Amino acid sequence: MAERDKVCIIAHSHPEFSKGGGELAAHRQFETMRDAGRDVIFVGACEVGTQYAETRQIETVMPFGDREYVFSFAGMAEDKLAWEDAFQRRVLVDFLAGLDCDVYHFHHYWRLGADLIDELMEARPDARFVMTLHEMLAICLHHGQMVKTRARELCRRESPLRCLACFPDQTLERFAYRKATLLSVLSRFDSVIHPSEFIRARYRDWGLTRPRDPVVENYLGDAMLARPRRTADPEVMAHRFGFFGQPTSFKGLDVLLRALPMALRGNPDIVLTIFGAEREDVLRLFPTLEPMVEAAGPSLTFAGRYDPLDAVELMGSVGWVVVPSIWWENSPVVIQEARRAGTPLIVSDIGGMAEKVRPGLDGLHFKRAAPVDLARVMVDAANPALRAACGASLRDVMGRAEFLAALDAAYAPRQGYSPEMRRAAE
Amino acid sequence: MVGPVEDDVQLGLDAIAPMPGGRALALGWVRAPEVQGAALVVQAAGPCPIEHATFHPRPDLAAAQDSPPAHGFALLLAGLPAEGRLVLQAGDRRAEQPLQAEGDLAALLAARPMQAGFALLQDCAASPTLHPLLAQGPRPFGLLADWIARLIPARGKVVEDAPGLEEAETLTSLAGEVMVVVRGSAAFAREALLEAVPLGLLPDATTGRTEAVALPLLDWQAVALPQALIGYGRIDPAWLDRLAVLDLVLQVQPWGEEAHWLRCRPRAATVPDLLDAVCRTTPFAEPSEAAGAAALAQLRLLLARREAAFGPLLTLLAAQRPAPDAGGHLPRLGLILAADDPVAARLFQVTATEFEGRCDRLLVMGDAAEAVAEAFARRGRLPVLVGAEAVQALREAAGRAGVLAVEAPRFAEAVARGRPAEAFSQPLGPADLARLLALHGAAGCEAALSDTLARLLRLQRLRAGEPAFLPVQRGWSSPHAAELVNAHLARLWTSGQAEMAHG
Repeated sequence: MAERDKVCIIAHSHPEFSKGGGELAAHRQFETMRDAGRDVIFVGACEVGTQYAETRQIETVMPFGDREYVFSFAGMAEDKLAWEDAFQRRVLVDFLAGLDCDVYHFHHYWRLGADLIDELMEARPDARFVMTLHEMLAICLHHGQMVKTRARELCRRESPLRCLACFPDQTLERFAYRKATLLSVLSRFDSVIHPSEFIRARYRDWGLTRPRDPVVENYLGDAMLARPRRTADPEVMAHRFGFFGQPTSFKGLDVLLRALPMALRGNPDIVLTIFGAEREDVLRLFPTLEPMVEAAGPSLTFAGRYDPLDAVELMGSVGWVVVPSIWWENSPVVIQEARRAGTPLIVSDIGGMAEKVRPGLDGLHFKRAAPVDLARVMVDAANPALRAACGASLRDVMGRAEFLAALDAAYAPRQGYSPEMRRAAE
Repeated sequence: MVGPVEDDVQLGLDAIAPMPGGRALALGWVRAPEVQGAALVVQAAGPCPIEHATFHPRPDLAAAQDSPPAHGFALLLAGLPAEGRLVLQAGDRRAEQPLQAEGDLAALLAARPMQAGFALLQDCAASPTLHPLLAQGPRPFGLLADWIARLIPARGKVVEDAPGLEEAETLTSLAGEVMVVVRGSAAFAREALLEAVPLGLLPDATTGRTEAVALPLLDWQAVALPQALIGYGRIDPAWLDRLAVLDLVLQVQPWGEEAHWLRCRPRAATVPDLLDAVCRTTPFAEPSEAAGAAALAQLRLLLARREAAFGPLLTLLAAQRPAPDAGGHLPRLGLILAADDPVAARLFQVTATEFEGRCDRLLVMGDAAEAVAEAFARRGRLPVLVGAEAVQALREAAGRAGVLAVEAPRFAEAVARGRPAEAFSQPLGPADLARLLALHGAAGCEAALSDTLARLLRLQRLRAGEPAFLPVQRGWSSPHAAELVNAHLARLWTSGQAEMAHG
């Protein structure tokens, strides 16, 4: 019975130290399973401990609360995909193997290492192994973005020569080693969970076809699911737009800020609030946008950083959540949070964004990286009737029971699959 | 001991030294109207044949007007009989000297013209019975030590103290080829001469001492180009593995009688490097058009010689079919080639069981061999060798082991396809290994055996339309040399391939 399995969740970080979507999803899964009475342990990589280990002695694995542990990855190679210090790797493997879990559920392989996973699989041939893939680092050396290093063009398929065009200082052989190493290990998992159809298709195209590979959205957590979903007044909210997240170059905030003056010419009532950054943060990253920011005047507000736990509530304060990312995204937590908040979305028409937001039902699409088209869509969206329609048809997120059932299915032993077959399955 | 009997028939004995086995070495000179028609014999109570005799000019011995020139000799006598006499018989005239061991042979050799010492060294190389000359006494190079100390040493290829000579580049290949290219600051005479004697030091594992040996240089041919003298010959390649040091002693006569004697330490070279040296005819700027054309013509001749020498064996080896390992009892030797990137170690770390299940021992070759080997060594389930030990193990495996050779990048591709077993699908048999070693010696493009093996594996899986030989990329002396040498290497690499394809 999967419900009686002892599960170890191993993540590339702990939300206490960073608030990325992957570690949040991993920890929320831990909390949800624990609160559901499951036997579950959380082990997360710890940046603080790792930095400390650079100058002083520190235990590789440290307790961090009830059934929670963190570990230092100071012994890893620079790319954090393998360990240089085999002794530290062994310490961590021995610790994990000694937990005597039935299921080892990894969130990500970065900061964990393909070699560690391989060694743990060898140490625990009787256990089942599950991986949740949060992005495409195995496929793409460019931070897993599948966006070309030159001109931010989208990349649709990995191949050594294509990768060499992005990284001319690398070698074809190195790309081959990298792919073979990661694909070899990932292929041995019993299940690989993808948060979106999009990322599943990318990994399948890449060659990851052996494990079961269900699509299971990240779970937002019981606390967020318990919040009542508010219904907004479309007359009031239709012209209010919000951006949530870090102003990184892939998130497309520059596209949105370029679109705003054009949208304002179509509808001067439009207002945009940037959650997650101050004006200075944005201009530091995009100094050429200063004229647009100035031109927007009071129509543009910078709300600064926010606590992720407040995201759903903050999203209720705007009529549309704009996700203008220029990279594919996989299953952005912002989209889930907006759906939970009941706020429809305007998203780039690619990847996980296009998948998660059904056009005309959950929100609207615009041409990726095209400010003119985004401006057009924002003007359209400011129509209260359209806002009301989308608000009414917007899906909520996956519930707890459905999530746990999906996990149980992923954890179930595979029919006719023995530990010895794990390696043979490559 | 000079004893002129008549003006134009003279016999001189400079020294007689006892040799191991009761033999004796006699050095001296003769003057006779026709030396070729004269004869030297030993007269004694019993038989005492002259086992070895060589002659060389002795211009230092002045002769009266119209007298025939003197010639030095070195005689190896079967013994040193009491009351014995050395007799020069020239027609009806004769001269003789008593045979008595006396004279300081080493001092005599040191004092005599360099040409005489070189001739004796050549004799040592040609006749094993003279080898003790290089071993007598406590000093390295024995009786020739002082003479060798007078040689002009080349620093690398730079020659100093030899007017007119700029460089003496000497190279050896794994096949035992010896290439000498002497470059001058001005054009050499058409009749310029270049001779060479390989001189090695052979370590004795039991005593820890080294023994000097002069080696025969086979098929030596030298030619004078406008600004370079080029010599090419070969020694038994087995010496290369045995010798601690190999030097070349050169006798260079660039302009008529003037001669220089050099001592050079040849550089171990790849075949392309060795052959390209022929076209580097000047140490200065680009060679002149005439010099370049002459060098290319010489290179063509040399390539033809090589193909005649190596082609038949390579064809034979290519035609050999692998002997089936009927009982499956051959040791299973794994070989990871081209492990040049430390990142490869990650792959082998997570796929080590693929090798552990298929091999009894593993060899790793490549720039990152240590890192890759560590992935296996850490697990402790498969003995693993790298570096020279791996190369030696592969050589020893020829003829008695099957080798599962896996090129690291191709293994990565097979793993990425989800079919790592495909990388092991073409094991090398003893016949393949013999061919590998022959190709490496005759047509190896890199010093590393792994490069040759990678090329052989490529040849074996060649598909229609693919070039059989990938040209060697290096800093060639000229595009023409590159074209000629690459074409030559391609012919050697594909020797017997057509027969195989149609066989």
